Amino acid sequence: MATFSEIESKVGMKAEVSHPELVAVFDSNNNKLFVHPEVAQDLLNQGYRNAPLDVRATLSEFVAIAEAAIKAVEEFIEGVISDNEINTSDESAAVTAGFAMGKLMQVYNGLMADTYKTYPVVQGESIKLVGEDGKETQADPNQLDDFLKKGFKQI
Amino acid sequence: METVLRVDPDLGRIFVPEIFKKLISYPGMPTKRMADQGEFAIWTAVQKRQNEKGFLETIWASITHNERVDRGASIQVNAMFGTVGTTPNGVFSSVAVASSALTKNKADLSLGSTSANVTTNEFTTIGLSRVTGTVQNYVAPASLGATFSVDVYKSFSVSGSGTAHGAGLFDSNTPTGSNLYAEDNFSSTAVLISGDTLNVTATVTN
Repeated sequence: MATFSEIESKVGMKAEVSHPELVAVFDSNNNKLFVHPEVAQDLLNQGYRNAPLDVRATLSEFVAIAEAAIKAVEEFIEGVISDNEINTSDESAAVTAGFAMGKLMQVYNGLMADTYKTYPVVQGESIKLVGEDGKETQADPNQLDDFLKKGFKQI
Repeated sequence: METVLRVDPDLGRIFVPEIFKKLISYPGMPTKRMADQGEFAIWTAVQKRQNEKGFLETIWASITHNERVDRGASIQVNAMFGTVGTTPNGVFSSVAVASSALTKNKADLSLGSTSANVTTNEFTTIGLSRVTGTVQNYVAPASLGATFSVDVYKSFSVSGSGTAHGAGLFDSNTPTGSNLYAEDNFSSTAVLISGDTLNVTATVTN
């Protein structure tokens, strides 16, 4: 009798898998997670991404929301000056404008956070110095003169 | 036309345009106008499209508002007191997307129409047909008598081409017998193609 390992498989690899192919989503820290397709959409709605973090995607959201917010503010102001009074409808428009600006600020904060998460913060190169005791240190270029006055020498 | 706003003990009679008298409140006197946000819904719609690099790019957004229609009020009074108003067909969590510009009327029963049970101005295909949204983000009144707010959110996966003009909130996914709560046109139209995502949120204040 043939052993199990000697039996040739008649089915494709995918057919042997008892669950659908998992979908990759990315959390706010760019961690890749594989989840069931039905769960993926819910996660995407909650802020997960279907691709690694891309600042340009967040920027596009900021631009679109900004344009919508401008329109919301315009609608409020136009409503007021059209009849020279702030009526109940205008106040609803004012709330909507405030809501839109709040949403814009939320997206802006996300955009800033995404940018700082994605790209390194680079500082200017420090200057190497050696003290009178022979110990090496590093200083900001703007403070070079101060260190030299204290007896440090530039390496 | 000018009118006397008030007689100030130091300044005497203060004349202002008539409109200002209606608006200005001042110390020691009743508030002229109470902030009344009314019953309305803020509609936030966001269109996303996958770009060539696979990222979901936001290509359009709209934030608008409109007041509750009469039928919405009728449903609410019935839910509260039972013997008056219109019996609801469910809860107002069904999100519909408008397929044409809405001529809004306080007596509307369907999207942009005073006729009941019609989908004349409503998408029934391409993934935009009326569907139940998620009720979330309840914010309780900040003070006694203040309004609460709650979101009804739905993410539509678009499977064809079309132009979305607005949205509405109903109490049933089945048009026949359903009741409209609020509707509005978007600030501009969303031109959709297959593969797009249209996220619609109705933030209801009451």
